[in-house]
Parts: sequence; structure tokens; C-alpha cells
Amino acid sequence: MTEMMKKLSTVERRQRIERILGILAIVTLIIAWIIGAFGSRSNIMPAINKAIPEADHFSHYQNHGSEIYFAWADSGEEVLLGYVALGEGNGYGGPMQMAVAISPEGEVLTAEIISHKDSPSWMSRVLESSLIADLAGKSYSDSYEIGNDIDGVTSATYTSRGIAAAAQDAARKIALEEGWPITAKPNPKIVFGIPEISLLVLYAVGYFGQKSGFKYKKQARWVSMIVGMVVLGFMYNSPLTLSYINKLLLGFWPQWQTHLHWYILIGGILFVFTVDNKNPYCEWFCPFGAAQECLGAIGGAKTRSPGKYRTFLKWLQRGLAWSAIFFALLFRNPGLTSYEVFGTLFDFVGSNFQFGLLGLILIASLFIRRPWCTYLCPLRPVEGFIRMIRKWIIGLWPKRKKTA
Amino acid sequence: MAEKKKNRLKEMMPNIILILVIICSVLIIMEVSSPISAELETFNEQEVIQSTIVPPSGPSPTYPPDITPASGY
Repeated sequence: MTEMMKKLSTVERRQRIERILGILAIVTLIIAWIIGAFGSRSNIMPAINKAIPEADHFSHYQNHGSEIYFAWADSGEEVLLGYVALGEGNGYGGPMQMAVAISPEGEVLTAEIISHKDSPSWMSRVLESSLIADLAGKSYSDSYEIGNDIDGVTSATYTSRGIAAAAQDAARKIALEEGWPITAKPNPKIVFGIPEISLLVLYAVGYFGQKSGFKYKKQARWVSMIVGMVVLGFMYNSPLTLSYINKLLLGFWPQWQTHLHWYILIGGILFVFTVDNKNPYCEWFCPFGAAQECLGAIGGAKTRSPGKYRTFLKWLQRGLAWSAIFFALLFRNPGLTSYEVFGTLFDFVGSNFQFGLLGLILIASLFIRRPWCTYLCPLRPVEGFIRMIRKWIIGLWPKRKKTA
Repeated sequence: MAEKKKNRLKEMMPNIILILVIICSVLIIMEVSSPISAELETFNEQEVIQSTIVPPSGPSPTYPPDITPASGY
């Protein structure tokens, strides 16, 4: 009896410590968010200068929230060389801003990214492409549509779209200011394709498949995992990453018409979690989880116990996740610290560290069941945190009712 | 003999997992440390990143200005 009571008090003590640290995590993240929101401001003037380097001076005009810079040459009489405007678009990680120079005839001269929120490896892929160079010569009245009059960068569709939208935004601001004829901006097309449909189907399968009494649970789970791995992984490389969560926390909610996938993924998890307290994504159709399980099936992987290191490894995983969110909020950059290696596997994009990490994880997957998910994935601590808060709130509810 | 080997491997498994996770964590820290330190350097300063593009060839436009600059720079 006393032994049991001792055990109970240990559990309670651990629970209390976890709650205190949970609150501390929230407080520090709020502080990071506040510092990030008020501390970071971009100095745009060097980018403006760089946009039309021949200009002797610039004059600045601000109207209805649009900032336009007129570039002048002072050789004898003042000659207008062009305009520079700041355009905004939405990339993979969040908003991006571009300085776009337009000639007096209305054609793009130069374009430069001032700020962005995308992962460095993805952005460098875009920068190495001819996407930005191809903007030169485009008219202010063009459609700036990826796949139509602009070639996007494979596997960086959202970033490409963001750049095109920012360039168009800047060009239109100048056209509007100069009274050039422009057509009304068409409403964005709703992007609803194979990844979105697959996600909805996978959620449905995951939700019903987890119900007890479902006869073909094992088979349904394997089908769901393979579909997730092929469609969300190798075909579209759009698994849930920490940058999705950071975007949500930072308020960088993208346009729903073009980012339905983001809303379905985040909304679906939150919905099923609230209703069912279950996470259908990780176990049922996470593409990276599925890849690990496939390797595990080949190598005969088992759930291995970390023994006396269990607590240390749990807190290491939590610490990594907390640090990644903290710095993302501090620098207002969702993809900055997103350390998942999903893109490295599904698109072969990444640094040497990421390829090294991926190699280790894949080898470990042959004999340990889902090593990434168990020990390193930052989404597991996030899930655990939401679960703890949910349990805490539910636990408080009847007590209040009783005291009332 | 095989059973003995199996037991030994089982005993060693926590240490293997620990070493593996620590190596992976070091790789993660090395991966994210460079963008973080770059951000720290530019924090509160200017952050201009990108490439330039070659302006289209041809003479520079020489249109007379028909606007009045709002403020000089």
C-alpha cells in the first residue's frame, strides 16, 4: 500500500514538474514572439540602390500604403531611369518582400528579394535557378503566373509562386501610381489537386481506421502509409513539418485558395485531436514515418527500449523542439530552424549535415522501429504538449463543476 | 550461444541508441547553427539577400520626368 502511494506521489510529482516546465516553455515562446515582432525591421535602402545602380539619386513617394522610389540620373538635366517598388508575396515559410525595378516603359529591370521566411536550402535552390532572372523584361500587365508566363522551380512551387506574386504586386503598385492601364486583379484560383484530395482521403482512413473493432486495421494502415509516402512524400514533398506549426504560431496564415493543403493538414490534425484525442497523421500517413517502417519491415526492426536513458532522451527531443520553435519565433522565420530531413529524402535537397543525418536515421530504421519519430522528430513533443494541456483542462473541468 | 549474443545486444541497445541520438543531435545543431548565427548578425540590421539580374540590353530610357518627387533621398 505504502509502495503504491509512493509510486503515485512520484507520478504526481513528475506530472507537476512537467506542467511547470510546460508553462515556462509557453512563457519563453511568448517572449520570443514579442521580441521578434518588435525587434526585427529590414533596412530596404541598400536593396533600392542595388535595383537601379546607375541612379544618382532616388525620390521617395508613399501613397495608400505603397512605397515607390523614383530613380533619377543627374547628367545635365534630371532623367527618370525607372521606378522601384516593394512587392509582397507568400512563400513556403511565410511572407516575402521584393524590391522590383521597373523601366519607364513598364518593364521589369531588376528584382531582388529583401526578406523571406523560407528554408535556406530551398531558397538557395530558387536562387540558383533562372526564376528571378526570367522576370526581366516582363511587362507590368503580364499575368506572372507560374506555369503560364513564368517557369517555376521544381519542388519549390510555393516559393516560386511567392516570388512571382511579389514581382507582380510591385509592378502593379507602380502602374497604379503612374496611371498605366491595368486590369482588375483576378481572384486567386483555388488549388485543389491530388495532394489535397489524398490528404482528405488519408484523414478519413486514419480516423475510421483507428476506431476499435475495425477488422482490417493493419492492412488499411499499410495502404494509408504507402499512399502517404508516395503522394505526400515522393510526388509532392509536402509532409507536415515544424515550419507549418511555426507559421501558425507566427500568424503567417497563407491565402487559403492557393494553400489549401496547409489548412487541411493543420486543420485536420487539430480537429481529430480535439474530437478524438488521437493523431491520425503520424502513425497512419506521415511519409517519413512510412519510409522508416518500410525499412523496418525489411530489417526486422523492433521497438527498442532506451532503458535508463529514456528520460534524458525524452528531454533532449523536447529541448531540440523548443529551441527550434523559440528561434523561429524570435527571428520570425518559420523555416529557419526546421531541422527535419524530409526534403532530403523525398527531393534529395539538403546540406551535408542533413544527408549525414538522413543516412544514420535510415540505417537505424532497419533495426529500431521509427527512430526519427521516437527520439528526434520535433512534432512529437508538440503533440505531447497539446495532449498534456488537453488532459489538464479536462481534469480541471469536473473539479470546478463540483466546487460550483 | 546465439541466446547469449542476443542478450548482450539487448543490454547494449540503450547505449547504441544514446550514441546514435547524440550524433544525430550534434548534426542537427550544426545544421541549424549557421542560419541562426547569420540571423543573429543581421538582427536589427539590414537583411538583403538575393541575387541581381542583368538589366535588358539597349539604351537607358531618357524620358523627361513628369512627377514631382515627394522627398529627396
